[in-house]
Parts: sequence; structure tokens; C-alpha cells
Amino acid sequence: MKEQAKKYIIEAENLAHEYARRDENGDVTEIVRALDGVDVQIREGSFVAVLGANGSGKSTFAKHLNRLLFPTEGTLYIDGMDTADSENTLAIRQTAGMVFQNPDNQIIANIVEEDVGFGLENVGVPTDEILLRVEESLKETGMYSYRRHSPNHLSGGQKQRVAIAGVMAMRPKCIILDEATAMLDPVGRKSVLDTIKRLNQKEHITVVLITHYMEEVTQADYVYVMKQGTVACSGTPGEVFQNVGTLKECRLEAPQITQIVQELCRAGVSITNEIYSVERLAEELLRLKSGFKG
Amino acid sequence: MSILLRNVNYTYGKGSSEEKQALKNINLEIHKNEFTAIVGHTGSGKSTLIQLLNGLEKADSGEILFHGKNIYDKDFSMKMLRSKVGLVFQYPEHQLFEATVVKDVAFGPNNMEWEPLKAELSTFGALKDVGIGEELFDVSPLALSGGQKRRVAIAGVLAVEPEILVLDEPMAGLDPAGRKEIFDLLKKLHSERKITIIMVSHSMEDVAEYASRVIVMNQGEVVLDGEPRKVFRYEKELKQIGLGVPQATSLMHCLAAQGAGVKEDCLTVQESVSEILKWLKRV
Repeated sequence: MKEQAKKYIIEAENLAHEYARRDENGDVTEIVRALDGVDVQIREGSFVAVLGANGSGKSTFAKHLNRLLFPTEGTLYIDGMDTADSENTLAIRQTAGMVFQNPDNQIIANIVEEDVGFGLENVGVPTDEILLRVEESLKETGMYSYRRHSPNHLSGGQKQRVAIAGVMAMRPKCIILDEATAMLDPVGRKSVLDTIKRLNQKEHITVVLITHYMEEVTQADYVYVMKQGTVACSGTPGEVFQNVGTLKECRLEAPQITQIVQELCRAGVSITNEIYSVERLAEELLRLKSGFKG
Repeated sequence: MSILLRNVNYTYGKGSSEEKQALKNINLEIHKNEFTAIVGHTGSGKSTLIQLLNGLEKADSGEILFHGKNIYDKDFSMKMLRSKVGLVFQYPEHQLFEATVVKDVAFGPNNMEWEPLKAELSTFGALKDVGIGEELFDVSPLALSGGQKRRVAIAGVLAVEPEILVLDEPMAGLDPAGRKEIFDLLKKLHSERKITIIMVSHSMEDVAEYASRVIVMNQGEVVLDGEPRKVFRYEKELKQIGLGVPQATSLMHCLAAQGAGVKEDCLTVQESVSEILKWLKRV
């Protein structure tokens, strides 16, 4: 199927979210506009990253995607369902599953496989089907060998993969990771990223990755950068990374490799902008150097 | 010399099925006014190590000397040690609990039973050091941004005027600009206030830019210890234990491995760029 033919699974138009801050007496002290006219379109099966600093509105946006919040202005459709309509709550949450930041806050059962099956049990899926789906999800996230372990003794990255398995078992069309790697060490972060990348490529699950780590978005198909509740810029990772000034205003920083490529370009070295790995850059530079000789 | 660890061992969950030797025969000397980074992946023993430094955990064997005095001696004052070696936990903002910023920061000095004037001076001094302005003094800590909360939490430790500041992943969860704010703060405390800094970090880029010394832990042991420029030569060894080197350094290693005649020990983007430009122009 051609990319163009795929429909939008997430469509936000002029989406806004306002809430009131109150003092201890309950009086409104301030109206905060956490989202301010956001337009986002995400195609089914794509891998989209939403980048933004702390307080940019990216987590508020994420919470709209499975109707933990709903628009105060504008519209948001998830797989054609209007999130303003409370009747759609369950269907939306089954379509868009969410993984949160803190691995310790979202695991509830004493055994890994019970935790993964919790959501299925809640919606009354027959036992045989639960067992089958739990096994499948744990295999997909590489946590099958831990199925009888207590989640307490897993590392942060492993806990997040269990949380992802719990979401996967519900067979959502879309999975949203709301800073799901922020509290992990580099090994844990890599294991989670590899897992979602695989789910995106093999199972064609739409992935929305919310993060402030720019090196995590290099593999995304498309990137939205948020700032003060608005989309500051968007494009492929290569396009977005070139906006050095905008990124700095957004309190973000490009990975070192990107910075090196840009510095070299500025110094007149003819090199393509779309290089994200050490190996690729070394290869490119060696080719350039041999060109100088010959 | 400020802290010396001799043959330190630590095992947790002793006698249970979870028994694990977290630290194995650690010998280390932390010198005055160093800026030390401790790196190592989860479970390498780095958090246990820093909790030994202010007596929060006690070694099973071996000794720890603070200014030449054994901290496990009967007449050694742990209270003094804890005021001299300030420990900032991971996500320290989770421990803010007072009604206002000032009260929270003043908790330490008041707890030390300092005279009111001294306590007040050190409280305001610490808030000034971390760059929290007067307009926020009477605000609830809960109303602050993530970066501000963290700075208030660090001020709470600074207020008891430690000689050594030990921080467990002070940058975790902050965006790049927030990370830089905390790093610049640590750099200022280190250079202006002459506070010895020991911090656990996962970011090799940050370690390369800020630390004067890096200690690499693996499975309860110190495996590498030295200036970042020296330690980051061992990219292969670091990768084997789940760590790495800054991308800027890795790029130079990668080029050199394929025969390019470049200097390999670049640590920052600027160093690597100027070395690459020099190399490209060379005939």
C-alpha cells in the first residue's frame, strides 16, 4: 500500500487545552493555555515523534490522544472518533494505548504475565484468548522468559517493556509513549526503543513517541517539535534538525553527530545533512578524503 | 585528601536469596576540589558507593576515612559527616515537603540546631547560589517548574554548607536546557565556592565536558579511573560493559580505525570538528 493511501489515525485541528490554576481557597489565580492551536496529522502505521522541552505541552497533547483529557477548543479525531464525545472513551482507549514515564507507577500485579493480562481480564476476554495474547505480547517485547518473575525485581527498561506488552495485548492500532524512556539508563532506553521500532515495522502499529531526547527521534518518519503549547516546526528528522535556531529556542539540543555535520557544512565541507550515526559519518568523511587525493 | 576508601566491601540482602555483593574491595581516594563523575550501568554499584560516602549505608568490611578519621570509629560524629558530605538523591524534588521554598531550604540548618541568624544566612545564601530569586521564596515548592524544583532541592543540601556535594544523576529527566542550568550551577559551586563535586551520570557527553575525573564501575568494582580524555580511549572496553564514549570521541576512533591519521582523544564537538578539518585539508 502506498503511503499516500493510508488514512490518518490521529487528526488534530486547532486543538487547544486550557485549565485554571487555583490557590488554596479554590479561587482561580491563572488560566493556563497548555495547548494553543495544535495541528497534527499522523498516518496509520507511521512512527511519529513529538519533541519538546519540559513544559512545552507535549505530555498534555499525549493525554488527549487517549482521552485522559479532551479539547477545550478545536477538534481531535482518533481513528475517526471525536474525542470531544464521551461515548467514544472506551473505543478510543482500545485504539490508542498509552505507556507512561514512571515504570513503577503502572505495574500492578505480582507476576509479569498477570500484569500483562490485566487489561484483557478487565474487558472480559475469554481465558484461553488472554493466555494466547499475553504469550504473544511478551514474546514481541522480548520479556517472555520473565513471565513468571515478580516485576519488582526487573530493571526500569524491563518494566517499561512489560508495560508495553500490557498495552500490546489489547491489540491497539496505535501506541503512545509519553516520555517512557526518560527515567531509564542508556541500556534500558535502547531496549525500549528497539522494541517499539520492531512493533512499528513488523506489526505496523502506529507509534507516537513523546520525548525530549533528540537522538531518539532520528529513526522516526516524521517529527513535531512543540514549544509553549504550539507546534514550532515539523518535518523529517533531517529537516527538523537543520533548524538549529528554532531548536535552541525550544530548549532542545541536537545530538553531537548532527552538530558535527552542521559545523562541517558551515566550514564548507560538502556533506549531506541526513547523517545520524558515527559509522555513516566516518564512511562519508573517508570517501571525501579519498576524493581529495584522487 | 578528603575521602579515602580502603578495601571496602558491601553486600545487600545478606542471608536471603537476593544476596548480592554490590561493592567488591573498593580502594579510592577523592581529593579536595575534584569534579568527579561516576559512571556504570544499572546494578554496577555506583549508587551504593555514593551512599557509603556520607554514612547512609555502612560497609561490611574495610574502612572509610574522612580527613584521615575513620568514620566507623565509635567517637566519630556521623552528624558532622552528613553536614560536610551533602547527598542529593535522584529526583530530589520528590522530597520537597514544606509549605514554602524558604522553609524547605531552611529545614537542614534548623535541624542542625544552628543559631537562627546563621541558619537564615546560609538558607538565603544557598537560594542565591542556585539562582532562585526572592519572588519565589514564599511560593509553594509544588508550584515551581521541574528545573526550579530541582535547584531548590539542591539548595536544601547546600544550606548546611557541605565541603563535598554528592549527586545521584542530578540531570535525570530534565530537558537539554534544564540540564545545562544544573551543570552550570555545579560548575559555579565547584570553581567559586570550591566545593568538591561527585556525581553519578549516564551522559558521557556531559562527563566529557564537565568532569575532571571519571570513575567507571562494573559489577561492584572500579574498572577505570582517570581523566575523561584517558578513560574514553577505552571505547571497546566501555561498550562491553554497556557504556560508551561521547559521539564526538567515537567518531574519531572510527576514523582512526579505518586508517585516517587523526588525533583520537577529542572530547567535544569543537575539538572533533577542528581535527577533522585539519585532516581533510592535509594532503
